[in-house]
Formats: sequence, structure tokens, C-alpha cells
Amino acid sequence: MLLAAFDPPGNVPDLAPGSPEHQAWSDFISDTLDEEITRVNARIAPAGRCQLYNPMRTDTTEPAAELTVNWEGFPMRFLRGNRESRKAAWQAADVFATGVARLQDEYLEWFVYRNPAGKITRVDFTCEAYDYWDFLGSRAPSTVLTLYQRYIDPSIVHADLFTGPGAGTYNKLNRWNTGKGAMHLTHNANSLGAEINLVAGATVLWQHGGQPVTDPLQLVNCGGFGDEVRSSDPRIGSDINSLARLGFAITLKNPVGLLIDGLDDTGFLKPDGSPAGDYWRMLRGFDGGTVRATYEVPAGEGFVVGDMTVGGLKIEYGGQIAEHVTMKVVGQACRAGSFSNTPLVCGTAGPPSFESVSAGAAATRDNRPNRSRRTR
Amino acid sequence: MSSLMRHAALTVSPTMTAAVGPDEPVLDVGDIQGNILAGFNKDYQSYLYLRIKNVKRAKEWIKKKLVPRLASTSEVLAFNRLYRAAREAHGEEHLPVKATWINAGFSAAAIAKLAPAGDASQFGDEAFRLGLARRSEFLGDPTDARASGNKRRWKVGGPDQEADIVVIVASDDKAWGLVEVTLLRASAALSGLEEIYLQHGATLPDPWRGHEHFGFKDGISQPGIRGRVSAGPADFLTRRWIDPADARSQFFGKPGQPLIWPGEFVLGLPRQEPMSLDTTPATPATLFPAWARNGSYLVIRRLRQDYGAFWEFVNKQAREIGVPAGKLASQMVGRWQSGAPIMRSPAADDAALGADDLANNHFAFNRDSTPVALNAPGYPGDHFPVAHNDFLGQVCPHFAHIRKVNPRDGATDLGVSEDTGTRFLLRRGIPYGATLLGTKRPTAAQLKADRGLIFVAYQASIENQFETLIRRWSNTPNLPNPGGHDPVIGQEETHGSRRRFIDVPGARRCFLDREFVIPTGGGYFFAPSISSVRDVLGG
Repeated sequence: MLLAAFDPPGNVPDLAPGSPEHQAWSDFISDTLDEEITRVNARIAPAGRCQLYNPMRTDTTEPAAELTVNWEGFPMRFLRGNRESRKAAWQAADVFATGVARLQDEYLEWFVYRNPAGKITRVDFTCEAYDYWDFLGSRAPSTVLTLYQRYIDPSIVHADLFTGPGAGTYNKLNRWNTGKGAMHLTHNANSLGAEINLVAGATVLWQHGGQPVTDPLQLVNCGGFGDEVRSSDPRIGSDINSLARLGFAITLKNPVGLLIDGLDDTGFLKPDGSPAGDYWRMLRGFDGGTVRATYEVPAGEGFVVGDMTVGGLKIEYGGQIAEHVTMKVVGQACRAGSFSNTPLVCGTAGPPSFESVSAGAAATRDNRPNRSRRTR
Repeated sequence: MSSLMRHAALTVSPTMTAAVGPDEPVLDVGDIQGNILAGFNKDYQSYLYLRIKNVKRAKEWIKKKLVPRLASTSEVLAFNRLYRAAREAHGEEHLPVKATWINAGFSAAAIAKLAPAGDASQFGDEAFRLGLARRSEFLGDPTDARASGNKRRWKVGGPDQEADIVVIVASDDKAWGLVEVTLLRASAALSGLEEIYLQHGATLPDPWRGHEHFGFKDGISQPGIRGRVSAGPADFLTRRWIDPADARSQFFGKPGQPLIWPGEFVLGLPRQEPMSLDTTPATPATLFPAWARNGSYLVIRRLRQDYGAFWEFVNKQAREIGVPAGKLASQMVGRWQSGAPIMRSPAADDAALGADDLANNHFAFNRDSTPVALNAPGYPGDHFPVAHNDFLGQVCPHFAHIRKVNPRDGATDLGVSEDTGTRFLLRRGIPYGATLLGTKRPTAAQLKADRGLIFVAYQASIENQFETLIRRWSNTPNLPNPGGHDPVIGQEETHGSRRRFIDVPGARRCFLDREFVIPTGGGYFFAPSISSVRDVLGG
């Protein structure tokens, strides 16, 4: 059965079903998928056998399976850069500067609110891609303003968010989405287009030294998709490629988007040492598919987030919560075994792994194929 | 924990000659405590937990009574090599060579008392500085004070019960070990050290030697450690079994045993590179006092095992979903009781595979395995069925204990699989209590008796290694892959609910209505070099 239309990420009610705006968003996702399929078809063998499909054009047949791909919301680059000090990693990620994109690059960004004493009172989390908000800005500017007023600050006015002639251009790096809040993702890599690009690239099969490439790091290097220093990209790429190697037809489940799978607050304690209540509130999205949430102690409890502990440490950084947020994308797979594409030869496998070293000369980091169209 | 398995990901040509191996460092085996890198491997071990009451007298005891008895890696390794050579020559398990070894660990609180002011706060590992009791809830231990796993009910290590010093006495001979323990207890008491707890452990009797109380062979999978024990170019700490003509010899000690840079276990040494399996290591860690070099973080968890609850659950669920109990149990562990991996023997146990150390760890999860050329004279060869790609977890479920704590070649929620090389532990645990294995109808009293595992692990970061494996992977149903909790050691507590589950392939979701493994004590310690115990903590 063909999918009738793509819905907004998290099924948020910003675009009325059947409206021109809803249709335009659906077209955007559908066109992006088509572009990526065309791109992949041009490089694989046999040509035209791309394992990614557009569910608006190709049936998702039964039996179909869902594949949930999870990763940690806190940026791996800060953990790798601070292997000996988690505190230094949290500190490095908690940077909120007006007009500047956040450094949080795992498709999860957050903003920390503090009281005059400097204690954290609330942490907002979002995984809404900026290309969706660029779309909203151009097609539904009043909705953009309403959402900012609801979730960031009621005093926000149109001119705070839009610039250019006639103030008609949405500024994703406006101060209410950078130095004073987090309405949606800002990091250049955190886009839906990037996600689709990654998934498409990951459906390409590779071989090196006559053997299939299965190593997640090598796949990133061979496919030139994503960023190996992140948790998300190698994870998504590897899992999608694993499905592709099993011969599945693959697509992203509607609504296409990055999602927050949940917060594990085991070990979050109140100031008296008793377990914390459920202070995590989903604000946008659906159960199991959150796109916006906040962590805040309800008024009346007599303390704020900054009075609590996690693992015995006072909560001083948003990253202390973010590292317990799990992210996900959901893929769909059907027609198992229906593909047996010839793997492309990967000549530049990147830094040594078991595969590249054993198969022969390892390439250096400098001669890898070009990365995806994402820039950072 | 099972080891990182990447060898099946290799694409080696059989005729390829391996490049010259990496220049592995000469380890300070005369100064590093012996249980860390060599492993005591003794049938009898005792854990003596002490608290310092008088710093000056404690220092005297450390210097005069403890330090002279501390066994180095050099001593332990020499014995282990002798034992192994004798066993290989004579083919006997019980040889007339015996030894008794002693090692020790110190809590952050002890270091604050014994070391120069401010040194304790220089340790980068927050978990160590806080101690196990303050990390208990974070690890998923029950917060309900009435629950038997609640830290207030622990035998040792709970609030007001935290030990400053743990002394490990390990022996091939039960009586010899007890003599050492008696002498240590007496001298400690005379030095004003308060004894908080004494725990005796022992391997289970034959035919269950090497198994844990649920009946499964334990400790099969340990990482290999890069490094040499002398200037000899091939005098490696970890024996190399793979034919040098096979390029995998650069990366594995034996099939399924990846070679990990020693800085993942001992502070100040070259570490594993998390973005590559490059033979060039990452730089050593630096966040610790200078004297802590050549030391290791030591995690001890006293884990009570409820034999009756485990097998009751397995039998009941197996009946309901229509599979043999042994099959379900093997899916929960990832291995059959013999130690045979279900990845290589999905249908039934294979005792010969379980007993074959060169084959029982040779598998990957995300691709087909390939044969490895070995340099093992007399070895008949690995003729067991090869493991096949099991990305979907149909053979070894994603919830299986060994897959949870070591996803091997798969990407994880933490990114590339190479990162898993920075998560390994050196496990040195031993069971305690009387076994019920082989008892056909255990009595209620027998079932109720205290038995379990003294879990002991060394590492360079408690946060990045032990706690990541436990809190992040064992305790979380969708990490590193969706499929349920680790049914053996996983815990979860979400707003009072401790509900856990496993999604059995081809069947339904099974809820784990009881806990089989209950924390009942332990501590976070640091095992310094012998010279630092002598000169800093005892000086």
C-alpha cells in the first residue's frame, strides 16, 4: 500500500492535514527521497537497484519490519575529547551564545535555564530539524511566532524571528533559539535532509580487498556519509547497511524525523536522597516519538533541578541530563532478500580497522572520499 | 563480560604476511599488582574489608605487614606460566604447584587519609571519588529500603559500612589461604584497623569448576592486553596464538580475544584509540596524582544469585512459549552451560566447543565468521560450525547477557564499534557459597542459602567502563539494541517500578517478575603500584 502523504516530524499539529502547507511538506520529503534515490542509483551496480525507496511511490509490502536505531543524545565528540573528565565534557557542550549555532551535534540540542543563584531550573530539549523550521518560516510564519511564544517566551514578536526585506526571512539563529532558548536544532549537521542523505548513502554496499565492508567506521569512510566522531551517524549508517546486506528494501517510517526515545532517570535523586519524580514532560510529538521535551521540577516540590543529583553529583549542566536521553530513527524494511546488489569497491578505507589493515594498505584520513553534502 | 570480537570482520588473504607488529611497551610488571594484568586464577579467595581508625598505625601496618606480601604481576605471571606449561606437558588440571597471593585496593576516602593532602581529589574518575554507595541508585539498585538489594542492607559498602581497604588473599590451597587471612586479620586488629567484613569465595567443585551458580561457564571472554614483560621482542603478556602469516595476529591474542592497549586497565600507559584499531595507541591518561601511575581502579560487587528464582523463571517461561528450558536459558546468557556460544551452536549445547578456548569465543554478530590460522602445535583445529551474520538477533538475542555487555562488531548507541574497545574490563571474580548444581530437589533452606558471585573488575575508568556496561547497556532495554534488559544482571528502577522484560525471538515479550542477581555489597577501590603502596600510602 502506498503512503498517501508524509506528515510533519513527530506528527506535530502545525500543518493541517490536507492543507497546501501539509502537502508542500510531504512533497519536500518525497522529493528529497527521490533525489537521494537518483543519486544512489547513479553510483551502484546494477544501476537503478537502489534499496532505499519512497513509500509514496513504492509499496511497503508485508511482512514489513521496523528497525529502531538508537544513540546517545549527548555529543560523542565531547566525550572523546574529555575521556578522563565527564564534567569537562558537560561543560564543553553547555555553550549558549546569541546568534551562534549550538555545538550539540547528535540531533539533540538543549538549553539550560537558571535562577539568579545560578541553579538550573529547567532544561529544554529539542530534536526538531532546522529545515522543517525553515519550511515553517516560509509557509506558516504565524505558526512559528505562536510556537515561540508558547514554548520560549510570550513576549517574542515577529521581528525577533524574521529578518530581511519586509522581515520575511526566518532567522534560525535568532536570539530566542540560541542565547535565550532552544526552539529547534541549530547545528549545521542537524537537518532532516542530512538524515535522509545518510540513510540513502548507507544502503550502498561496499567491498574492500574482495570482502564485504561491514565495519561501522569503514562504512562511513567508504560511503562518505556522516561523521564518524558522532554516535549517531555511524550507528544509523551501520544498521541501515546491515539491513541492505540482508537484501531488504528500506525506507524511513512516516513521519520522517529524528526522535527522542526517552530519558532514563534511574539514579536521579531529590535533595533528600529519595528517587526523583517523573519531571520529564513531552511537549511536542507522540508517545515514543517526542520531538520536544522539558525537564523541570513542578512548582510546589520545594526545590529546583539544580538541587537534585544524578549518580551522586549535583546537576550543574544540561549535559548531565542529555547523556541519559536516547535518540532514535525508525526505518522500515520489507521484501527481505529481494536485492543482491554488487558491492562497490572501496579503495580508501580510512584509518585502520581490522578490515582495512588486514586487507592491505590502510588509507590515511586525508584521502577519504568526500563527505556527504552536509558541512560543518 | 565477553570480549570484543572483530576478527570475523577481517578480510585477510590467507597468503598475506602480517606487517611487523606494533611496538608494545615493556610493562612495569615488578611494580603493578599481580591480580590486575596476570590474574590470580586461584580456587580460593578471601576479601577482607578494613577501615582505618588511626592513620599513623594504619600506615605502619601497610608498610610492614601488607607491602611485603603484595604479589606483583611478575610473580603471578611466572607462576601462571609455570602452571600452564606443566598442565600442557602433563595434561592434568590439579598439579602439585601452589601459591598464595595477596593484593589490595584503597577507597578514595582511604587515599584522602593516607596520601598527601589533595591527592584524592586529583583522580579524574568521579565515580571512584564518590564511591559505590553513592552510585548505587545510578546503577539501578533498589531504592526501597526494604528491598534486599538496597544499599542500607548490604553486607559491606553501604552507608556507614564503606571499607577503606580491601585485601584480596588468593590461594590454590584453602588452608594456606586461611592462614594468610588469619595472620592479616590479627595484624590489622593490632594496628587498630577495624574489620568490616570478610568474604570467602571458592570456585565451584567439579564438574562445575569455572561455572557460576546458575550453571554457566564463566570468564571465557577476557580481552588480551598489549605489552611485553621483558625487553624480549616477543615476550608478550598475552600469549599470541594466531599465525603471524594471518594479519589478524596483530589484533588478537587468540580468536575472539582482541588486543587492547594496557592504558585501558592501568593508569599512565598507552590507551586504546576509540576511533580506530590503529596499532598506534592513544596517549595515556593524565588525570591522577603522579604516584597513581601503574595503578588500576578496582570495582567489587557482591552479587547474591537466586538459583531457585532463575530456574523457576526459565522453566515457567519456556513452558509458556514452547521452547526447551535450556534453550531459553542459553538465549538469556548467550552461551550454553558448557560455555559454547549459541552463535556457533544454536540448537544444542556442545561441550567440546565450550571447552575449546581457541574456538568458543570465535564469532561476530554482524557478519559471517571466517577461519583463523593458528600457531598452536597439537591443536586439532577449529572444526565447529561457523557463526553467521545475526544482525537481527534471531540466534543470539539482543538481550543476551554476552551481547549486551559486548556487542562486538556492531555499531552501538555510542557510535563506531571500535569504541567498544575502550569499554573492556579485566574480570577477576569468583563464586561464593555452596552450589546447588547437580542437586535434584534442593530444600527450601538450601534455596534460601546465600550464594553468588564476588564480581571483581579492574579498569582505567569506572565511569567509562564498568558503569557504562552496567547502567547503559545491561540496564536499558533498548541499548545497545532494542530487545529487552540483560536478564541476568540488568536492573532498572523507573519511579518505583522495577519491571524488566526480554523480547524472545519468535515468541512474545517475557516480563522478568523477579530479580535473580541482587547486589549485597562491594566498593570502588584503587589498586596502586606496589611502590606507591609502600612509599605513599604506607610512607
